[in-house]
Amino acid sequence: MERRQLLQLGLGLGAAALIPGALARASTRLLLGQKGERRPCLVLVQLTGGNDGLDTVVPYGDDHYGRARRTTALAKNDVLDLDGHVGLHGKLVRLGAEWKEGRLGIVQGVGYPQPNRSHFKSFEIWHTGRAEGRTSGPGWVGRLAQSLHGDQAHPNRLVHIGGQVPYSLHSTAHPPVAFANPRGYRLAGQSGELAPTMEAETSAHEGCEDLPRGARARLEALRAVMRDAQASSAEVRAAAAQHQTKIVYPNTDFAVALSTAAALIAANLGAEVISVELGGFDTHTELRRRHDTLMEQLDGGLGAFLEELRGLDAARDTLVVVYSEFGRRVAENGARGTDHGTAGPLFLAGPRAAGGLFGRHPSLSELDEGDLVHTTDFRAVFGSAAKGLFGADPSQIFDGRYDALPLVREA
Amino acid sequence: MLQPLLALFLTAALQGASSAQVAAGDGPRFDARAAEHLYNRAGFGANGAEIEAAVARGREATLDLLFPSELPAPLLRDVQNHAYKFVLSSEGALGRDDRPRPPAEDAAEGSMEGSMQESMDEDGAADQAEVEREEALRRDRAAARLADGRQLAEHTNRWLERMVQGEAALVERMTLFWHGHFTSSMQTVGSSYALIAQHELLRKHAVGSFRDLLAGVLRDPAMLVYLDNHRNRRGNPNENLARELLELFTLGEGHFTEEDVKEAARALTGRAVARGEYVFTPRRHDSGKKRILGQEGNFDGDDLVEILLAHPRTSVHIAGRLLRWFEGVEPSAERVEHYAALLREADWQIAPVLRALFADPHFYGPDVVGARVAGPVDFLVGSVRRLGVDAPPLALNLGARVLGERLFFPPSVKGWDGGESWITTSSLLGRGNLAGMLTGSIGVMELLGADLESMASDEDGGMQRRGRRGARTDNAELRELVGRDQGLRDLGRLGRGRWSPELDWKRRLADHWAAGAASESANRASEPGDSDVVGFLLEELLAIAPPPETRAELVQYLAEQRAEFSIPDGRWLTWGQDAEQLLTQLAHRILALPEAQLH
Repeated sequence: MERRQLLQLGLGLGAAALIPGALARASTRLLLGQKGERRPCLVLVQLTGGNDGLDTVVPYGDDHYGRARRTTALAKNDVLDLDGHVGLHGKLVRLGAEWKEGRLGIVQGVGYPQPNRSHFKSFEIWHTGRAEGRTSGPGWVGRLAQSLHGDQAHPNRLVHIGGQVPYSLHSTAHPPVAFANPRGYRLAGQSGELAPTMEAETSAHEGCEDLPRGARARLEALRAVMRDAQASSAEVRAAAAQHQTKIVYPNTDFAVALSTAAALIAANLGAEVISVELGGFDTHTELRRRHDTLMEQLDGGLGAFLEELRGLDAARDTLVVVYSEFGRRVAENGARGTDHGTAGPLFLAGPRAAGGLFGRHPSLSELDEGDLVHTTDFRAVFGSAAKGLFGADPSQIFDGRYDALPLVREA
Repeated sequence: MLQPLLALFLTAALQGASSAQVAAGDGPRFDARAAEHLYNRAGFGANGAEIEAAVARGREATLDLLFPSELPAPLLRDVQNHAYKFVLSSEGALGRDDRPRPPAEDAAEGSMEGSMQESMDEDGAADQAEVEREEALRRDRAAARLADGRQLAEHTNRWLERMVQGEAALVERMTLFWHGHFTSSMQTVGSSYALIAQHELLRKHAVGSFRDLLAGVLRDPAMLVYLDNHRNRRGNPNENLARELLELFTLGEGHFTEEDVKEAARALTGRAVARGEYVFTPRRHDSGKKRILGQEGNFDGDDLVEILLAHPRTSVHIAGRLLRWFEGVEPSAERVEHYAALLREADWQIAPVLRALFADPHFYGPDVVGARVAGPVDFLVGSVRRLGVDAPPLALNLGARVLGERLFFPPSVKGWDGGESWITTSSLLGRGNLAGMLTGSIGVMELLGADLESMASDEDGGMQRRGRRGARTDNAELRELVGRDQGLRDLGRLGRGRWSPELDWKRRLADHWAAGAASESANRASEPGDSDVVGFLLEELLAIAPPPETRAELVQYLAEQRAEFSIPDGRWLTWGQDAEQLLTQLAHRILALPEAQLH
């Protein structure tokens, strides 16, 4: 019996079984299915906490801005001018260079109707593309995968590099894999790898009918995750170990996550959506100092990543989208910070990004209870990106119709 | 049938009378399965002996033991206010944001800013005395920070020890619940003194009065700093605390307006912190008229508590969260409403509501039993209890951190999402690895070493501010903690060789076999066979009964391994050290199963 042979093969010294049987087979299958077939890749960069859009794409030329941000406003000299009216935050040096080369897309005033100022609810709306949030079903990336592949799942297709997985990647048919550190992403045994549990090879529901119905449903889900984990972890570790680059990434978690993303893209593992996160944007206090640091971190990590992508043949079909759950109030608060607001800018970068300024900057004089009124719906951006990059049909991902935007460069 | 039964429990509990009056035959049957389920959910799991004792005692007497008769003693006796020492020169709040950043600190970390700063200092030929003073300040601050981190780790260790001991397990389980509900993070608060005080507040009221708890939390220094209320002043309101109070702590999302948030923030103005303690500054309080949830008046924070408790949504929100926490599945609207009514009738006392839940047939029914995804702490503490090992609490603390539940560092003000979100491809593998650490199969640093660098990103990706400085400091603190913990050194490659816990499987198996001999037929084998061994370990180590296929695969695995070790069939009790090692290997494998993640 094949399983038995595999188990016996590496059993020196009576140590734990070493043979990654199912894993070896799964990898072979994956490699056969994927090799040589380059898929486009969408890299989602989430700025968690509510990025202050007015302090990112700065309307320095608008008097209302200086008046609303008495202690925190950036002056013309502090920004990289884009169009004589708005400019990039001065710490966005490398993104500024991308802009000059026509490789950075900026969509202004992105949001959604009836904005919610709760971090959690607003993220649910961004992640699902629906006002009801997660009660409405899978995340929009999960829907995208469904629209492209039906129920044909593949373990490393949707990848989150970091801790908590954003709900956008949630999908029962296409569960994401997630890890923070490729080296720790393994099942260890006494002297190396622990052989995959045999049930990894049995179907998810086998034998479960005797369990109480609540436990049964859970166990089936857990078994599916275990199968994906065993198939994906070996590939991911190999990709990270083989990854070599001359690009120097800053020593931040964010940049390290992006360099791991580059490793996955370079190895052509079949990852179609890779998600990373930069946290800390909830700047209720000390906006000036804190946001400067955040912009520097964003620019350092993203700049290095974009540079590496440019030199990677496997990255020719990669698009990076940077978003946050909301912008912040137009007026600063009493603690030189800004409270939760509404619309903000999105960035698109990478080999497939069409550069340029898109959308209209929201008015700073016609506010809705002190907040910006969005001018572009985020679903128009995600939908256009999905269509341009994957040829997906946005109407299968998002309800309603949104204008198509020319955000993606032809392959 | 359900209603009068619940009312009876409620009355009994409210009167403080012994609920032993309730006929033992009422409610669901309290067999071994029910007893184990109760311990899994109300405590942190149980071993065979504890379950047996609980069944003999009966449900009511077991519940009496779960509910504490007195307030829990603080975990640490002498808590130092270290943080105060190193924010002396700031505005007096606790927040790290207020701490001045001496240039030397940046330089030491070799960042770009740091090296620029360094060269500027040289060029500027700064006064030598000034440099020395700053260096001394930097050292003091670093020492205070390490001492502060140690104190929080010490406190966390004591808490985990209490969970493992199992005394008053319900208090600690409810404290874990509140720690995710009224949550604050060390990342923002920056003071173990304040966080420990908050934690003791949660423990004190864990199964007590929600009213007292809520009122206490709105005066809690850690919470006031965490949600910026120390900056919430008349004329300059900061909405952070007010918004989360309405959205997460009481009403729930969608049951209030933006106007309610603004007005509630005004009611909370003036509540601040000085030197780590709560202060109310009347001149910073906005005593004007407010309109909150349809009521009008010159409300302050205490009025706000009553307004929120009077709103029916608060009881629904809290009851729903309690049901999800203890049952691990989405409750029906009817049951949420039912328990919300109980909470109101009990005037916000938690104990009678839980007592009713633990007698509810639905709680012991097929939708609930075995359907809860164990959180990292549940999994680790439960595994330690079932294995019967004496693992260093720091190993559990760091293990939970690797798996995404870093105590006192919640990912956001919403706490931990829990449930299925605990499980990712990497956390599922990580759980198997940590189980191997607990059985002594894997050295702790083999695991944690690889995770050290990525740990910081695991838990801090949320709303809190953090940068490269944060990550570095974090790891320095971690290395320091790991380095000085003897228990952890014994566990890992920091010592020589591996930890060898006294699992003593052969003796336990022999006891189990002997106990069974009396009740079973006399003509069975004198020693247990492979399937008996697998059955015994599964019973000992899993909270749920696994499907037969899992069992069969493990029997096959064990037989193959036994052949490799050249152990004859049916000699488990008498064979030597190899048998013991193989049993430990089997234990690791069982705890790495998907089944072991449910309870």
